[in-house]
Amino acid sequence: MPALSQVSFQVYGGFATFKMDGLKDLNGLVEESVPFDISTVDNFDPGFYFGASAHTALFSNLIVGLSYQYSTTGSRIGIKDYSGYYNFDQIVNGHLLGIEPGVIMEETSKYRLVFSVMSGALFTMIKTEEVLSVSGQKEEDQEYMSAFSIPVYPSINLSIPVNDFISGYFSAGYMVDTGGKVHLRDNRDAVLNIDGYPVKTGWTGFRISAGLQLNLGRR
Amino acid sequence: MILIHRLRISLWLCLLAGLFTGCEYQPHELPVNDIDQPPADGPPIVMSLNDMNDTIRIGWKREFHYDITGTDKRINYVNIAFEGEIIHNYVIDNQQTFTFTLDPAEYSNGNYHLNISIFTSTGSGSIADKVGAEVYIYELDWPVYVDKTLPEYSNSYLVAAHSEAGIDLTWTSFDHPNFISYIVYRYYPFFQSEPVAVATITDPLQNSFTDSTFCEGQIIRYFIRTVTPAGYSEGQDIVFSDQLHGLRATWNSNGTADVTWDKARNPESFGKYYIYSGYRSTDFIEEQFIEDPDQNHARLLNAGFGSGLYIFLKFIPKGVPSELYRNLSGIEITLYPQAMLPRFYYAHNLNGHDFMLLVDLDKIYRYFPGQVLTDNSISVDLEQYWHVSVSGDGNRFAYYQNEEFFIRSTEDFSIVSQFQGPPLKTLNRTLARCFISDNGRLFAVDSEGYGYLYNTTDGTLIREDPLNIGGYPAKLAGISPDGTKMIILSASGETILYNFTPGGWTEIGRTDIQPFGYLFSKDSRSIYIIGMTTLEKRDAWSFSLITEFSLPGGYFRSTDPDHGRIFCASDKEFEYKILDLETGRLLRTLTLGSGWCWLYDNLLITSGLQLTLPEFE
Repeated sequence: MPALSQVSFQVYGGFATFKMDGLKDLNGLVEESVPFDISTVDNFDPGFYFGASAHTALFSNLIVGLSYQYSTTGSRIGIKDYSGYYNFDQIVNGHLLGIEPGVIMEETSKYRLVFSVMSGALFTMIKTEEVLSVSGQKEEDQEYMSAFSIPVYPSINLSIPVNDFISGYFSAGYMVDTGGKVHLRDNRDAVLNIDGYPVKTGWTGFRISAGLQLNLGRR
Repeated sequence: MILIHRLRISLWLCLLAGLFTGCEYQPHELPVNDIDQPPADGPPIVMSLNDMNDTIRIGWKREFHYDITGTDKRINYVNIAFEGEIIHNYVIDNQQTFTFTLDPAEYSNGNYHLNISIFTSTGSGSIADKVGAEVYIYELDWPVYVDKTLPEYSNSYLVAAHSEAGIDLTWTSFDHPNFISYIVYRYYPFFQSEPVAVATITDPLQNSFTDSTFCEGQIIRYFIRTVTPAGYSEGQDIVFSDQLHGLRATWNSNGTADVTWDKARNPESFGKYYIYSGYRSTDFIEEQFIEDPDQNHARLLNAGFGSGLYIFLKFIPKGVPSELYRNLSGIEITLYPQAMLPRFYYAHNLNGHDFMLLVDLDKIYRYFPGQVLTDNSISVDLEQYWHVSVSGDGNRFAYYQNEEFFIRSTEDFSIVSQFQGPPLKTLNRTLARCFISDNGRLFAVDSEGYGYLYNTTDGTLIREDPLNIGGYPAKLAGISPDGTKMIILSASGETILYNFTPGGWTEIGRTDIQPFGYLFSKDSRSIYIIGMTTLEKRDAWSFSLITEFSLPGGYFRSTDPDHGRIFCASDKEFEYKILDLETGRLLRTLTLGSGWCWLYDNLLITSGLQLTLPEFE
């Protein structure tokens, strides 16, 4: 059995997809409400996310960790011509703080393969910005909204030691966002509804990342 | 140490979080929509107020509707001000109509202006165009003339004329600021006395109206009410007499007539057609009602000979009660069928022959009723149609012309004999009747009651007798087919039968019946004396009564001795009957315009026409 560190830190960045169906519906609603045809510039396209975590071993093949992930995405619909422009932007940031237990599936001197499931609290911050600028006159409107949801994120994590302290770290998984009702940031009762149904967050999607793992202490 | 170690970890995590959130999503630039800017000036537009394009003349509060034409651009905004006071503000999103009210109550008479601003879209499709920030602006100054003087009484001179669309009404227009409306009223004096408004016109210059809902064929009255804020005035009524059209009739030889007419143009008011016919314009014998507006034909079943039959057609409007039908107007025609056979004065049935002799004053025809055929004729010059006689066997006929008697064969109209008759002109008399017997005798009676008996073979006068009865000359006389009996009617009202003997005429018997006609049987054994109300059959040898029956209410017209029938009138006008000659049994009742006709089996012949009756049993 090779020696293993008792505490490890991971820092990583990656690529994620986002469903965001509810917020896409909000774009559709805006599109219908304006008197001109508008086009979709961005629509919650796949983007980067970043994270950091710390793990420690509980038993010989069971580890537990504390994780944080930051995701950001958004959309823009609008039009621009000689007379001015109009846009409606949504900027969505997610902060996930969770506990991540894992099972060491296989460990050799050259790598370690862990299956983990992370869950915790996902805080979503949404900022909408609507701008109409016609003939030099500009009207703007901004709204700040937030949501809280509980995600489940199963993933496969591979660490490949470079030396005794540093390992390469790779992770792939699928996040399931149970969806939190979007409401005004300072009024939890002011829930955003479309056709009588509340709009929910939709961080659900695939995630893949790479980073560094710092191993502290030895067993 | 452990605590210090964990604090370090938390510090790292916070630093990382701050680093991450600095990488927030940034949206991409908007694409530019490449559309052209619109022209600086919009297209010229035309605005009309209540369909007017010139000065508004107003005296009272009035509602206006305006139309804007000349542009296909969206009307975003209309602002109308009267003397600085905004009276209308149209905004496209407010679901308003192009309507406003102008009330000049607070303004004195004079000239003013409506200031009208119209904003239309440019139609460029740009964002500014779509949100109404890019517009064409039109400014109008619309002259207004306020005249609150109440109008003088206005009488509308109204005229009406028929057109394809209906009844066109035109009247004197009342173009005044205080005009509100014209109301066209209509009523039918014969069945609807309460006038009904059929149109309301709010344009003072529209001084015409076409009434397409009128009840056809009626006398219609119209008047125009001109309404102003101060009240209304009504012009004189006019009377318009509408007519139905196209009434035609075709007579059929079975006594029916097919009637057609042009369909009513206004099924909206149609109730039924009323068709009736008669021989007087004030009376009728047959009527029909047709409730299908598309049915424009009918068959009259009691047309008789059709000649002189009045046929009436009326358009009965919906809801008019039947007691008012006689008040309604209609159209009428008089039927005159085309002649099928020669016109004549009198006809003779010929016993034992299938033809008749038709007698006109200048011609005698041989006519076959069964074939509707005239195959022979001779020209004659008769003073009276009754100067013709046919023998009982139908083989000879005689006529008196220019004081001569002509005896001709009925087969080929050849002259059998011709001889001089009594010199009546010298005696200043006329011939009353003449009779030819089967045995070649001819008996003539003149207007003074003298009887002349001739032998037609050589034209010799056998006897000449003054036929006086009780001092009164005979009015009518005749001899039997065998030439042995003579019957005369005296002016005193007695009928006497004589027998011819070598010593002269010997009375056989007499009766007080006043005969209208005689008819000897072919064998001369009996005589039918047809009175005004009765028919007696008597033995020609003893003058004893054989049978007798009444002729109910009518009198004799003609006989068809070959078929044993008599045709006579009844006690009802235009009604005729066919009776059995022997029994008086009623065989048929007919409605005819004229009883001047002759029966030949089931054919009834009158001058120029022939009616085919159903076969007798």
